Amino acid sequence: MEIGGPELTRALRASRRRQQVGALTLVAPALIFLIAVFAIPLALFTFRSVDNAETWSVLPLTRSALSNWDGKDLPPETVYAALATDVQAIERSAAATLGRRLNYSEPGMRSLIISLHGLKLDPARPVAAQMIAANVRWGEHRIWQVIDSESGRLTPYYALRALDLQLADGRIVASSSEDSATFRSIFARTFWISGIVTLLCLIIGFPVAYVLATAKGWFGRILFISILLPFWTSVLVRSMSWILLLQQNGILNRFLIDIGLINAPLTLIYNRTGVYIAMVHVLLPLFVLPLYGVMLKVDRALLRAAASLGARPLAVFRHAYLPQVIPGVMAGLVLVFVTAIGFYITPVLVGGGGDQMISYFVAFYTNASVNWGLAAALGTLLLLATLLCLGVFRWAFGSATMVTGR
Amino acid sequence: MKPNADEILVRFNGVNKSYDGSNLVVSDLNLEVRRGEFLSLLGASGSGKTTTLMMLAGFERPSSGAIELGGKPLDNVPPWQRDIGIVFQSYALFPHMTVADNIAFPLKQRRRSAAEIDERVKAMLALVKLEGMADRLPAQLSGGQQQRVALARALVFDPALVLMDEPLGALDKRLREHMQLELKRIHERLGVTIVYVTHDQGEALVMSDRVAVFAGGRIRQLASPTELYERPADALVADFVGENNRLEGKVTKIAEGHCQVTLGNGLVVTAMAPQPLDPGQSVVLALRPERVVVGAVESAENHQTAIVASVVYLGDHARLELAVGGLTLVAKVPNDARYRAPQAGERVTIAWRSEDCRAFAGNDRN
Repeated sequence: MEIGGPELTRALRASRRRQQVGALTLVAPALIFLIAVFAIPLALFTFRSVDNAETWSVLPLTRSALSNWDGKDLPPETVYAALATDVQAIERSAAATLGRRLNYSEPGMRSLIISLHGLKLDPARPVAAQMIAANVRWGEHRIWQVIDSESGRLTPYYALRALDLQLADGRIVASSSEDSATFRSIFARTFWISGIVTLLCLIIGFPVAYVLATAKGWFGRILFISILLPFWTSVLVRSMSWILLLQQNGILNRFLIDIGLINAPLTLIYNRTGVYIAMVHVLLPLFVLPLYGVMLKVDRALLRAAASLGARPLAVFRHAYLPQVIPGVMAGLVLVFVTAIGFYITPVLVGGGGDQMISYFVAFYTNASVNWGLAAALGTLLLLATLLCLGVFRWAFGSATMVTGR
Repeated sequence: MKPNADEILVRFNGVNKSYDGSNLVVSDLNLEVRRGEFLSLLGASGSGKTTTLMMLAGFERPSSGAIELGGKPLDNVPPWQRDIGIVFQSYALFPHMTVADNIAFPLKQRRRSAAEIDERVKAMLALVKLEGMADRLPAQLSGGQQQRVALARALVFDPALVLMDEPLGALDKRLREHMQLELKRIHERLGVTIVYVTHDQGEALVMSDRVAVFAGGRIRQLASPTELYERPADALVADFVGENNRLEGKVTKIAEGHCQVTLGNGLVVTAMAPQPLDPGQSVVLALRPERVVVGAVESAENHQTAIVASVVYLGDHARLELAVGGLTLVAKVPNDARYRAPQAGERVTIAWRSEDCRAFAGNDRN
């Protein structure tokens, strides 16, 4: 039954549409900002992890010539000619880029391509023979296999490389790259450090949040500010201060020696201990604040009820207090863990070579080694790991918990 | 086991309580609760009744004085060893536990056997008429049902004493009236001692064996509901329990428990004087509206002429506002066969007996 007929239905729909347009107008600036500076760059960078423009765009003739190759023996003369034409048609810098890209898959490709770029070819004689004469490796079957598999529009190379894998003869096998960085162990290290830091935050932060939530008057205010103060200071400043405190001749070591607790200074920095100390300090407020919010709202009547029913203080805590604050604990743990796995500055400043986390390698491949494809693949994997953590939490505790801690 | 009606279960001995060190929330409290009785602590908010309950439960410590339970001092007994069941205003059910687990909680804390727990929980669910709800979570129950679970949980471990802190405050009127009778039934059936805190005088009158009226941290009167209503100890109790006409005047004559009072508008009335009064003293007269009769009554000492200012029809009775020489009196007249309610504007004679009108020292305004 339709009350009021189609006019009313139409009017209601129009009014709802007006409301939606109004709401959209209000969020439009934020939406445009997010799309422009976050969503689009993120998508572009993520695409880089499978993008193969460096070879695909410069080898058009080679690609079409290779499409007729059966892959069994060495390719025919047409393929040699096409590659020589392609390589010699581009700038020397582009040839260097192509060489570097192919070198990821097969060592020695870089010098092969660069020498091919400068090779004087006699148009009267077969190109294949001239190239093999210049460098015998042009006669290797493997070289052409690499060129064939790496000339497509997209490549699985970076994603596999980020997991210490590579494609060989169409199968996924363990990587044999000369680059000794093993990303699986770096990912494992990243999760291990984040896990330890999260655990330390739980052990240190839970009692602090409890005291904050129950303390009254000036004591509570001072405590609250001392927890919040580091939160308002930049991560860089905080990590730098730890260097002053923890170094060999730093304040802490001198104090411990002065009071006679130790004889020789402890190594507290440029190792894992320093990373743990500084990261826990930086991340502690992230754990304490959501938990504090939840603890403030604890129903005291439930605690009294439990006590009146015969529960001793420990049982009151377990049966009446803990169930009420568990959502806050989980929110804090996820917040700390997810933030920790993306940490960069703190491990760089206070950690040693073996304490660097995945973000360090993303930065390294972006800035130092200019392998943006690998940086993108590592970054994308990190993003997926983060989303997975949030997904597991959301599945276990419901989406509202994550936001409100309730 | 029939409890001995005269046995004292709880004794407050000169208990004082102050939170800030200067203002007494409870002052010089002396109170005895008899075993098996239903005692209500009645008072407005801030009168000290809830603090008294919390001290008995062990959540607050008296600043001075002592509390005894079953003859033993409670000073250093923590709440979990007092064996006192409490029903909270908010019910305070554990939200993550089922109804059965909530009720089983005190038994599990006492490490009772699984078989006993099972049996006791079943018996309790039957007592509060919640069979079939055992596996629900508190959030899936109505307010009245949650109330019953809280009650069952406070009773399941056979505590000698059950405290209730405005347990019916959150229920609607009909359900509240139903639960009042239900509580009374359970009290009579189990013979448990109940101390019940409320600000609702009607509730206190319906359920209690005795009522302690609290004001300003002190007990103003401790008596049975009848006594409280019929013979209030002072003007405040008279005001708090039931409706009351409050008339101010000065004593002009005293004789044998009665006195003659001249009101502000010059009218002279006679009243009972439960407290000793002096001639010339300012007094407050308390007169129940249902004791003001419209028409002449032979046995009544007080007769006045009044104008009916307004009539509110309330079904079984009518509520009149009467103008008596510049004063306003409220009267309730029954709607029965013998009686005709007067109309607004009518001039009537009204009457009341002097024993229905009580004079209290008038400086007593709190």
